[in-house]
Amino acid sequence: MDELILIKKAQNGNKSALNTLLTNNYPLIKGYVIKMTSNPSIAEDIIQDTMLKAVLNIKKFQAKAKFSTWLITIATNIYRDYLRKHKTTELIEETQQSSYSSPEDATIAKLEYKEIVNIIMKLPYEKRTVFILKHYYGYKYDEISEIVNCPIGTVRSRLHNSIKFIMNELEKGGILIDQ
Amino acid sequence: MTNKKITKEDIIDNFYDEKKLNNLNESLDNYEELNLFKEKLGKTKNIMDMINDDKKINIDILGIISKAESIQNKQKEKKETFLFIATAFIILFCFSLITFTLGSNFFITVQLIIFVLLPFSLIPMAKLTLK
Repeated sequence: MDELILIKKAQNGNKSALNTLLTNNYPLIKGYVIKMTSNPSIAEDIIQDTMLKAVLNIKKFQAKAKFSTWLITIATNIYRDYLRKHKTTELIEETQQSSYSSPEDATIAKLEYKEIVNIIMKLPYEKRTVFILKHYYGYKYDEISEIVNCPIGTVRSRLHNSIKFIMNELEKGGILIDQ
Repeated sequence: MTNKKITKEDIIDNFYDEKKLNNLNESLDNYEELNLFKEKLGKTKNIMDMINDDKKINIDILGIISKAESIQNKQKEKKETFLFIATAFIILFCFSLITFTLGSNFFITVQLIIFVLLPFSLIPMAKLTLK
């Protein structure tokens, strides 16, 4: 069903339309929040708060941008508020199913994966947001500027600095050289 | 773009489809450096794409919608209670003011009218409810 029609129905109080709308956008918002937090427990709270806020404010949504963009904006703001309240966040060890030929390869891959996640989490929140939105979701600079509420020049600068930082960290960790 | 100096930032913008660049020109002073940077950027992309987000997270969307409904109902109730108290206060205040100005006879007259006429107003209301 066309998203605009679903939104109209949801704004008129149709629970089924609202459920469909949120379910359709759930994978995207889940992926984004997990990448941002790298912690499934925190991600779950952020996603729940995002959906709750979206339902409470559905009538305020104007179809200028996509519904998923609106959800990401809400999630970004909620996570920013979470970071302000909780100064430190711990990275929970990731477990990844491996299909490697030997345990040694699996261990190396697991360490590299963990290192990559750590590198992303080392990025300050503002830069991490821009990098994830650009790299994984293909948002344009002007769209990211709307989501994070800062000038396009700042978005561009944050992305450039993020990329250079990541490349530097990968080289230091010996991951980039190995590719 | 061939005359203007190309920077690493331009390479990044081009990589993410934000800027069009002609092919890197070998006549550029920093051609080697830029070409190497471009290669590293591609490798970095491949590495960062390893991040997956297939973690299991349990979200009950219908539950969230019900919770939101409950919150909205509570907010509505609070608003209605406040409006009721405010309206009742205003009516009582006006009534008291008029009685104080016109005297207690006015108060007694109004009370009599209400007690006599109010029961009769229930008849059409009951008829409407039955319909």
